[in-house]
Amino acid sequence: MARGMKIEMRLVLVFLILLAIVVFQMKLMPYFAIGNVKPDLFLLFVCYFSLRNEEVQGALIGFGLGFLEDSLSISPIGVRAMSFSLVGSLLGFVRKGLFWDNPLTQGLLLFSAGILSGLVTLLVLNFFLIPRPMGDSLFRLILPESIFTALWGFLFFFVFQRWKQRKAR
Amino acid sequence: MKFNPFFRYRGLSVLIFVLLLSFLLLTYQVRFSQERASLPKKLVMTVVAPFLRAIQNSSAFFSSLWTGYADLRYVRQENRTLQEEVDRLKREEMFLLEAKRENERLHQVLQLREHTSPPTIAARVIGKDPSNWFRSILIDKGFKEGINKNTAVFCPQGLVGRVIEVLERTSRVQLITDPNCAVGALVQRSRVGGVVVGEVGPFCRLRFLPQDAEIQVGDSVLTSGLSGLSPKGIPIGTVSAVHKKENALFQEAEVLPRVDLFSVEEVLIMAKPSSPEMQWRGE
Repeated sequence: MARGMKIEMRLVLVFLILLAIVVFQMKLMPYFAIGNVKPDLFLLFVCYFSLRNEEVQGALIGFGLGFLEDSLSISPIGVRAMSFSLVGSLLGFVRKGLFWDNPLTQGLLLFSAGILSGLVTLLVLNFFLIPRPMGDSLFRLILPESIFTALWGFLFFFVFQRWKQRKAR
Repeated sequence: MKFNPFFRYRGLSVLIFVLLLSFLLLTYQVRFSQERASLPKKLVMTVVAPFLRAIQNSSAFFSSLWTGYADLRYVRQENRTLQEEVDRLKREEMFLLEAKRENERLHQVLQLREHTSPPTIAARVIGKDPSNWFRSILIDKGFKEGINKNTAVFCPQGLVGRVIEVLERTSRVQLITDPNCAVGALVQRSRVGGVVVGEVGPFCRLRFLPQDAEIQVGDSVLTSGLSGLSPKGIPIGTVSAVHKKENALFQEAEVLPRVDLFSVEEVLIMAKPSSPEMQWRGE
């Protein structure tokens, strides 16, 4: 986020970013779905912000965005909050030992984060709600979602990095 | 410097805290399901719904402008065709009116209970579920407009789902393809009963069919009305595959939903819970 901004401006910026994520995910992403699976922009932004912060902020960002996604879905609140907070915290932890500042690495991390959050979500749903078949969920939902989100993430990180480099010149 | 374990392991502490908070939230919600949406969902939707509605309205406006322009070019020809169609339908209506009167007389003679069409409320779809794990849509009517929880939602082609959360001016509809959705169903041709449940993929699954039940690809599946959520006779879909295992108690069938749930834009919601007198009248 831009440094030197007033706190009110930062809050407005955060609100606008969250609103954009919500609107894009609910209105635009369904058009990019393949086999009823669409990219998850919430997960993408959890990874984006967690890689640029410590594990504490990663866990809180993950919880916040997961809470928001659960609130907009028919899911009970806490399903995605749990999985995203775990992903956010782990990414905040591993960023210290990795050269993550390149879009390909970020895409791979995003893919791994998608697999991890999908498995945690599946475990949570099986524990709290009607159990879902593991094989079907893994091959028809978790894997495709991770791949699509990673591809979108790679594109987003690539474009954003280029924009930052041009701005820096 | 005094050793502060929280400070040293603050990352882990925060993670454990948020995981525990999520677990408690889940336990509370699963244990105490509420008539209307929980407070956090209500707050989030109060903020987000106006933006979604505004986007839907503006995209509908631009879409109608474009189709209006495109349509003007063929108005005269279309007008002539429609006039001929109206004349034909008027003639057909006369015959149908006569058939209806005869039907009513026969009903009275046989003293059959009269079936009523369910009163409905029309709504527009303003958003889709953001998660891939659940299938739902957001509509622009809530309890202020008379929407109740657990009422059937459908469109002229067939069943769409049921109302699962009701807010003031928006409601959430669980689609029939949601893995947590189950609808009482029957096969139109053989009248065999079963339960249609959502799947991870784009199909539904018709389960608990007796092993000796006659079912084949192409059979229509309708609501049975037994669950009390929807009237009898609403089309759900068409059988696209049958799975029969030798030593299993039941056979199953894959059902392709009749409604294109991806592109549905307007829906009808039952204004009151289903009753045995209600029967769906069809397209």
